[in-house]
This record gives sequence, C-alpha cells and structure tokens, in this order.
Amino acid sequence: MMALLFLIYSCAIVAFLIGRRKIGIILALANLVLMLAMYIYHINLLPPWEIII
Amino acid sequence: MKLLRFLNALFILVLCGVLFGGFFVQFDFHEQPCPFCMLQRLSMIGVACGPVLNLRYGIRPFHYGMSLLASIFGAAVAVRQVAYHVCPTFPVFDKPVFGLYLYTWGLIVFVCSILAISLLLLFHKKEDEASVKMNLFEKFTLLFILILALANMITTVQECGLSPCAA
Repeated sequence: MMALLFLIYSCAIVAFLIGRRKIGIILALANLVLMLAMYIYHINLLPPWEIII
Repeated sequence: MKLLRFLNALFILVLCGVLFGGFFVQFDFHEQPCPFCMLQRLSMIGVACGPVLNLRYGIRPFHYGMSLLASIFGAAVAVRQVAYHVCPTFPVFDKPVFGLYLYTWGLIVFVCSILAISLLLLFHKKEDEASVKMNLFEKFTLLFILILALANMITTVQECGLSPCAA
C-alpha cells in the first residue's frame, strides 16, 4: 500500500513530463488524501499518549 | 524570470539531496525506514511536484499551493514523530546525523520548504506561457526526482511488499 503511494507520485511526475497536466495534478492531490488516510491508520496502531508518557 | 526558474530547479535538487541522504542512511546504517519516515519521503516528493509543474508549464501560484499542502502535511507528520520520540519511554530506532535524528531533519526541511515557497510566491510574476522551455539542468532535476520516486517505490516493495508497513 505504501509502495502504491510512491507509484502514484511517480505516475503523476511522468504525467507532468508527457504533458498530461490535469491527470498529474489529480493523481498528486488524490495521493495526498491517501497519505492522510495512511497517516491516520498508522497513528491508530500506536499506543495512546497516556501510555507513552 | 530565469532566476525564478533556476530557484525552482534548485529547490527540486535540494529535495532530491535530502531523499538521497535518506537512502544513504538506509543502506549505510542498515536502518529500514519506519512508516512515518516513508510518509515524510512521500511528502518531499509531493513538495517537489509544484516546482516540477513550474518548470514544465510555467510558474503559477496553483503549483506553489500544491507544494504548500504537501509541506504542511509533511511537517505535521514530522512534528508528531518528534513528539513521540521526546517521550522517554518511546524507543529510539535511529542514528543521529550531524547531531539530529532524521525526523528532526525532516521537520527542518518542511519548515524551510514552507519559507522558500512563501518567498518564491512573494516574487511571483505572470509568465508568458509560450516561453516555457527547459534547459539541461532543469531536465536533469526532473529526471532525478522521478528516479528517486521510483527507487523509493522499489525499496518500499522490498521492505513491506504491498502491505501498509504496519510491522
């Protein structure tokens, strides 16, 4: 899943380079949303602050 | 305008240097990146997307906005990670580079990115879009960031496969 995020950014950069600006922008912004989802997923895996502190 | 284009290319090159440094630490110290580190690497590639667009299609505020979003996200992830490692009971699994841990460097990079984008926006002028033509240095930076994004994808597949790296 994490590798997929790198792949999407790679595809976005390739889209920019071959002249598909809008597709690249959509891919990059969608990837940002997926990264946020992944961040929330990983935060929920960690123990809560009360236990860490 | 040439100076702004050069600064955009330089911005990409600096981000490439940081990503390359992360690779160096990963292979030299045999330290596999944690999920938060990967998210920060992803954010750095996201920050580079704005300058890539600027070099390819002409400088526009929208492109800087995309970079700012990625910078703010990356800074949020880095702050969270720094906050965890400040806690004495949380394990430290990294070696310091020039006295600071990589997540601290990540936070510095994102804060500097926000500052750099703000300064570039201050000096933004409307560009004649017909005049967009890349020189060799700009082409090199675009290729470099693309190669680094692909290399990160390969090492992530090696480390986690297609899972969300939850281990």
